[in-house]
Parts: sequence; C-alpha cells; structure tokens
Amino acid sequence: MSSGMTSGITSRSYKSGSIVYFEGDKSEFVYILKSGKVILTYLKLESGEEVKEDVKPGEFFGVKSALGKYPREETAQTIGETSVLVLKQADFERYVLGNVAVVKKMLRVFSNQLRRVGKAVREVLGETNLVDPANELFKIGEYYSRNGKYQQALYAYKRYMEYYPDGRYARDAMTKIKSIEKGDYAAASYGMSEAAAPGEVETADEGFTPPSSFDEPEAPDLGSTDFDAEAGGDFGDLGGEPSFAEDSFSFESSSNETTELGAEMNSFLSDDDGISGTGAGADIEDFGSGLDDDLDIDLDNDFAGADGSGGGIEDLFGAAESLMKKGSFAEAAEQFEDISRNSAFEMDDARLFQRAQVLAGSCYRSAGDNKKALTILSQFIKANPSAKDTKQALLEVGLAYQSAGQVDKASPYLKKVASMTPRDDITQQAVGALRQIK
Amino acid sequence: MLDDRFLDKFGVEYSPGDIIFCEFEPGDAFYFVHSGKIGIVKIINSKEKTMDVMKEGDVFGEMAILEAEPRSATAIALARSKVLKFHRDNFDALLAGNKDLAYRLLVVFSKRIYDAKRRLMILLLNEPMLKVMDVMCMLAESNPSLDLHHQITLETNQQEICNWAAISMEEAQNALKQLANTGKIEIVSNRILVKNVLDFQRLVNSRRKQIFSK
Repeated sequence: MSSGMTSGITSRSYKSGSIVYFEGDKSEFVYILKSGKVILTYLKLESGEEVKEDVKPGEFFGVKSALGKYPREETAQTIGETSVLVLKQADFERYVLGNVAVVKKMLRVFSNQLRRVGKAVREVLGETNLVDPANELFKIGEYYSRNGKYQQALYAYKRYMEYYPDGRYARDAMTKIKSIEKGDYAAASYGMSEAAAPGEVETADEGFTPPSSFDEPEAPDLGSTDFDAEAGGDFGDLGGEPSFAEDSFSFESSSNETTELGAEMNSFLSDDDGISGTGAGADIEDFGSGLDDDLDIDLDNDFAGADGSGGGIEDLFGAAESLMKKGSFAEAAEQFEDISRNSAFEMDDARLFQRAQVLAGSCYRSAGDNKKALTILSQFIKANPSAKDTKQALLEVGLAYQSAGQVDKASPYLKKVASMTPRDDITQQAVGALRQIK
Repeated sequence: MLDDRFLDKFGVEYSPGDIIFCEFEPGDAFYFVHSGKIGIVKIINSKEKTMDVMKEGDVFGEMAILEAEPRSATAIALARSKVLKFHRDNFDALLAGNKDLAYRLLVVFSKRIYDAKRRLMILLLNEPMLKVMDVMCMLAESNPSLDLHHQITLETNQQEICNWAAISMEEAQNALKQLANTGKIEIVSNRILVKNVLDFQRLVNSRRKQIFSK
C-alpha cells in the first residue's frame, strides 16, 4: 500500500468493524475502496426498512453527499482489514475530469435516482395525474394577462399554440395573441375564459375519480378454460408455463437502434459498457493512462451509495420507462421483457417486476407486435389473477385484440375491465375502446 | 468557466422580463448562466413566487436532460443575461468537449437529489405539527452558518413553511401558533426564531421511527 501519492489523495487503513462515516455526519471526502470490504447501511425513505449494500474494491462511495455538501446518507462500516483512498472534493474533480465515461455513468445513475425521488414526491403530493399541462400553460398566460404582464402572457399563449394547436383554449389563445400584438391590452385582459386560476386544481373533465392506489382491482372471473378458449385460435397456443432464464442477465446496449429517439436515449444511457443485472454495480472500463499503476489498484470506476449503483431493477425499469415515454416501444418492450425474465429481480421488488411484465405486453402492442403482447400478457394474467396490475393487463389484452381487428375477442376483455372497480384511468381507456368498437 | 467559443454556438441573450421557458412547457434543453440573473418562479395561489435565483455559473432546466417532462417552473430573466442553451441531443458531444460542465452537473444533481429526498422525508410525516417542525429542521440544516445548539433565526415565513410541508394555510398557522404559545418559536415579521431546533430534530426523528414500526 503506498501513501501520499497523487497530489493530496491519501490512503487510510481501517481495522474490521470500523466506521468510515456515520449517517448524518458532515461530509467532506469522497472515498474509493482499495481493498477489504465496506458495507453501507441506510433506511429506505418510504418504508423505513434497513438496506445494506456492499462496496466492492474499485468503487467510489460517499460521492453525492460530498459533492452536494450535505450530511451523509448512510453509515459506512468496514468488514475485515480495509484500505481506502481519501479524496477531497478538488481531488475528485481533477480525478474524474480525466475520464468522461465515469462522469457520464454517474450522471446516468444520479438522474435515475432523481427521477425516482421526484416521482415519489409527486405521488405523496397526489400530483400524478391531476394536472393537464396544456390547461396549466394557458392559465399561466391568463395570469400574466390579468396582471398586466403582456410580454410574458404573449410568450405563454404562443407556446400554448405551438404545442397544443388543437387544445381546448386554442381559439382563446389566438384571440389573446392577436389582441396583445395589436396593442389592444384591454381585450387581452377581458373576456377571460372559465379557466381557473393557475395553481388551482381543476376537477377532472369526465367526472371520474382519480386512481386510488390502494384499492385492489376485482379479481377477473374469466375461468382458465374460458381464457384459453379466448386466447387460442388465430394466435396459436398462448398457454403453457412461462419460462424465465435463470442465468445472470446481461443488458448490452444495442448499437443497432433504428429509431432516432431510441438512438439518442440509448447513447445517453450507454457507454458501450455491459451492465450486469443481478443488482450488482456496473462494470466500466479502466481509468486508463497508468493511473492504476500509480495508485496500485485496479479501478473499476464504479460507485455505490444510498439507493445503489447502476444495475438494479429500479434503474433498468426507469430506463425502459423512459424509452416507453419517448415512444421507442419496441426497445422498451424488450427491456421490460428482459427485466421480467430475471427472477432475481422479483425478490428485489416484486411490484416493479410485475409491472415490467405488463408494460412489456403494452409496449409490444404499441410497437405492433400483438402476438408477443398477448403471449406475455396472458402468462402474466394466468400467474397473477388478482394482482394490482392485472386490470391493466386485461385492458392491454383487449386493446391488442382490437388492434388485430379481432373485435369479438376484444369485447369481453374490455367489458370486464370497464366493470371493475375502482373506476380509474384504466376504466376510462376500456370505455373509450368499447365506444370505438361500436 | 466554460469556453467562450460556446457563446457563438450556444449563447442566447435575454432582456429583463424575457421568459426563457414557461412552467408546463415540454422541456428539451438545459441552460448554463454565462452572465446575468435568472429567476425561477412558480404561480402558486394566484401569486408569482420566486423559488430560486440563478447566477453566473449555475445550471438550470437540467431535468430536461432526462426526458421531455413539462417544466416544473418558469425561468425569467431578471437582468440582461446571456445563457448557453444545450439541447438534450447535444449532451454527449457536450460532455466530451466540456468536462467542467459535466462535473458541475454532477454537483447539481447531487444537490437536487438531496433536496428531493429531504422534502420527501417531510412529506412522509403524518401530522401537520411534525411537518412544520421538520421544515424548520431542514431550513436550519441547510444553513451552514447557523449553530444549531443555540437559538437560531430562520429567514422564512408562514407561506413558505406551508408550501414546503404541503399542508393547508390553516394547519400551518395552527401549528405555528401552538409552537409560539409554548415558547418554542417566535415569529418576527419575515423571520422565525427557533429556540432549540435540536429538540425538534429529536422529536421528529423519534416519531418517524414510530411511524415505521406500525
């Protein structure tokens, strides 16, 4: 073990069971584990359950809290004789600036974490589906008009027209734009539409109650024989036991991405590195340029920390979800399917695991591969007749049959979904689809 | 600082009052302040509230790097400003050419993650009083110049506390009144004096453990 190496970076040794830092400590340094083992312990925010994570040699830890200058998010304790590198913030900065791949990987992991926490916050606030950005954007224009800030109002109305030319308030927005540009401010301020003030929650348009996440959907009473009869026919035999690959799961970034959006997202997410998907950290290429030799360690440029590193189910799910939101359905479908094939993930997060299956089916349907969609969805429904996501799975089956032009097969599923309580988003979709069929 | 070459390619100028982007617009670009001042505002209860002010060297709109979600706030130029506008598509090329920015983004994300987690911790408490106490703890923690072992002054008001805790104004006022009546805090115009914030911390932490053990 060498000490006092590259400008300011020092090495520190610990006996077994020592504490490198306690959760809540003021943070100063970024650490790299050289040898031995460190365990990070923290409590999950929403459930309070304790989580323990391993740091492997070559991995960074304590990064976020040191960079953000906030209290440590976890307690770091050594197991066995352990040796770490201690970096001040300036050292860390210099260290990683020489390697863009590391920064990109960290950014990717951080952004996934940020997305997840942001989502959790929005859910607790009940903000998920209640606001329509189109309406809110228009209301912002109204707010500025009302307060005599016409330049700002103009910006908001123009943007509204740009993104939502067929929007509910399109005519109003056009009128307001013309008034302001003509200098007729009075007209812009008067004749307010019935839009509520910005920040006020608008009641849902169609009078249905927002989804309540704690109600279980009614168990479908499609008996298994009924189901097989439905699922058979044109799509062949969709029954049979689902098969899950038991081996460790490798998520290679595809370089054959055909859709533009997918390629863009792909290149952001990947560094041409494979990520092992058993919940362990990502493997990254070496730091390069002999630094390894200087420091006498083999750096994997990986890092751990509260909420884990890059390859867990949550991160993979988040990545697939992003693709789905961007419309890269084929790619998203494959990634969701990959998640659903790794039974290790089921232990990590059963709910996400189930959702991944249903979303895989949904994305295949959106991508036009109804056969695959039905295969996955029917397997799911068979295995989980009364899970939270079963209602959506049934809807997707109905929609898949509908896309395939098999209205007679689609109907019973859509009708079933439409009749299941609670009445929510999914109910509305079923009702809408049924209307189209008639 | 960022290379001035970037100014030609990515620089955009704004006059005071210009909107850079509006809340609820889909976002696909993020910004770096080269000079000037940008206000980040939201319209809450029919009032424009300033959430933050971005100055030279700050990054804003960075959530657009991840996906085209609607903007969570409006960015308005408060002074003549020059910003560098980066599109999500340029991101890779940008990182390769500008490690300074990449590192800065890491710092920004680290801070945002912490802020969001801290906020979530407050929101997960089950009583308005606890939430109000935790908001004050959070504000105290984020001010390094405060010595938490003594009485501290928080530059905040009822409205802000109400927003952070996501409770009704009435609930916020009741809780604050109760704390003032029992001598735990003193409300002075736009400030709140907290006699012993460590007590709040202890109470909130122990109640938080109770919530989980249910």
